Amino acid sequence: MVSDTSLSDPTILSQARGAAQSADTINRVAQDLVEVPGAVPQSLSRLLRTALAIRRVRVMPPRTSLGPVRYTWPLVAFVAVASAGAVVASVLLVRAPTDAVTLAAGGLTTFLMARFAVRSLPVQSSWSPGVFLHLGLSVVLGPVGAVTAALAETVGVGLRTRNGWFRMAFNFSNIALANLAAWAVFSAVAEFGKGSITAEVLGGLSAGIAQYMVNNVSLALVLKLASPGTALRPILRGELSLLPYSVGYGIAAFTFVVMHQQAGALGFTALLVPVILLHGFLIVFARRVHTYEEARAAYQKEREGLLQKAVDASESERRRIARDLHDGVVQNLAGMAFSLMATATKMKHETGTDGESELLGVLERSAEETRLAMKDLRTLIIEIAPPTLRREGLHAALLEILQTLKSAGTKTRLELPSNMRLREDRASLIFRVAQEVLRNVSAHAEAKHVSVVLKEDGGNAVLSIVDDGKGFSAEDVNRRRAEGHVGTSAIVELAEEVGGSLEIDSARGKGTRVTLVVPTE
Amino acid sequence: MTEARAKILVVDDHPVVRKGLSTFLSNEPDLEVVGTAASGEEAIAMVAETEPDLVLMDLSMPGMGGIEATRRLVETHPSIRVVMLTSFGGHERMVEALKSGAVGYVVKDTVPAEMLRALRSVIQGGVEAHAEDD
Repeated sequence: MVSDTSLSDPTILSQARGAAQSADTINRVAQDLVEVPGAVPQSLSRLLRTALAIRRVRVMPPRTSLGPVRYTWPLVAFVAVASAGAVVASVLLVRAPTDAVTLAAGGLTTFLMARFAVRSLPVQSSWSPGVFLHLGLSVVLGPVGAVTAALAETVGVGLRTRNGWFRMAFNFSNIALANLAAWAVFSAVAEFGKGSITAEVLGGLSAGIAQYMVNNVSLALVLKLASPGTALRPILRGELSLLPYSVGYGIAAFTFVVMHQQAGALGFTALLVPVILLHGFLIVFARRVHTYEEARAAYQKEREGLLQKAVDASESERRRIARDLHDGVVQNLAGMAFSLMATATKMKHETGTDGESELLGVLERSAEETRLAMKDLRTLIIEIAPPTLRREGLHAALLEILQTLKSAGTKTRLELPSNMRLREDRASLIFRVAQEVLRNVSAHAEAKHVSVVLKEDGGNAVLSIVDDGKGFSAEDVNRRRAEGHVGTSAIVELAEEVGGSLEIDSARGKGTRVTLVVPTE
Repeated sequence: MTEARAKILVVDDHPVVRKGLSTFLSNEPDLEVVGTAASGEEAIAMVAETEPDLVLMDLSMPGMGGIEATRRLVETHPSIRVVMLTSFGGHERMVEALKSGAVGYVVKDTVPAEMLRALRSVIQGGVEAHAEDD
């Protein structure tokens, strides 16, 4: 797992913070219009950064993870036999190297590539240059090269992954036997072809296939023995994707033989150069991918933070508007209504002649209209920023909005656990959804009964609103949306933004059920 | 011989409301607005001065709010009757107001006749009265 924190991107975070000061920019970020910057300036020296990248960034062919080992008898027996076989074969076949320099160069390169393998994160990479080296050492130096490569790989992987002695034993036996098989096949084919170039090419191809077969069949067997319930077919199918690489390496492996024959250690080492450069390129590439992924994750997190700030700002603005309306206009209307009524009453007492009745009527009507205007404004304020929700909680706020239906003669029922604790933003979301749904029920459903039930279920808050009104069809929804009524779409989006869902189940004449599920955390 | 008018103190931080309510209530032959106050603190001082029969107290005021002012008035003047006045309903707030010692609860957009009925009920020492919106 890539975890190089020195490669995090402070530039994006500072840019996003600057952007947060502009509402317009917040909107642009929310709509994904802000581009993620490219290369990231670093404070560490390039050499140190590269070293850290090599140390921490890895690319490996996709392998089914072995996970924790279950030491079953068949598994232990298989690994023991394989290890013993590898050791016996090594003892019997390995001789002193004919070219110690080539052996050392190849072995060291194999070890380093295994120790600092590169993992490509977003794309599963099946490419590993290590196999090419194994084949090269095996076909050029024979059993000593095969076993050295196996040992170098095992130790390199062991140091990198800390995979334990049991897996190391299997790895060594697996790779050693695969390399020895490659050497044996190459030697047989090359000898059969009397050492011609064609024979060596075919030998290399055969060696690649032989190495692939031994390696992957052994791996598939050990996976099956470790987890008997594991299906073999998917494993084998996955490993099949590596075959073309082994074929390619095998064909190219004969170049090691030719170069070594022509220029000895220098020739062999020269072929290592492009492999090392390619591996280095992969490291740089993977580092950039990792940097991009970290920047993207930071950008996503910042974007979510900005969205949340936008929502909070919207809530804060709503509360401010509601407060200003309540403290200003509502009070003025209340005072005016009382004053107008007082004037009307006074006129009624002091005059009483018919000539003043029209003016009296106007005053009385004005007083009543002012009172009703205040009432409407009060309802609007409750909708904008329900004071009861913040002050008294969800239960009281839901009761308040059910009151409108109750006043119109609809029977209402509210069920909410008394010990239910919700985050403020979740309570606000649930309230808004209930408010929108009940508004629709009030305006369109003609329902006799409405029930609102809120309960907790496995980390989710589940709100169910059921009415026995006239229901609606999909055509009704489309028609209302075409008319500009987007309230339902808006609450669906609100729910999905927090990882929740909203389902509406309705049919004409059959009432409506709305179910909101939101995670409580 | 005319019957004594009930004395009312109107407490609200909004001047238009104080003026409107005072004028409205003063028109009633059996009611007399003996003073107005703009805050809970002022209300406590005015009660000592005017000795009203009923205090019409706004629930939400800056500084000492209606509930705290009611609590203190009821402690110092046990016979006083306080009716809470508010722009919003809400069961919990009503309960809180009644617990503080208020005997009634009126919403500002209540039908005027209903408000008068509620106030008269309280003045006559009857049961707790409240006026909900229609």
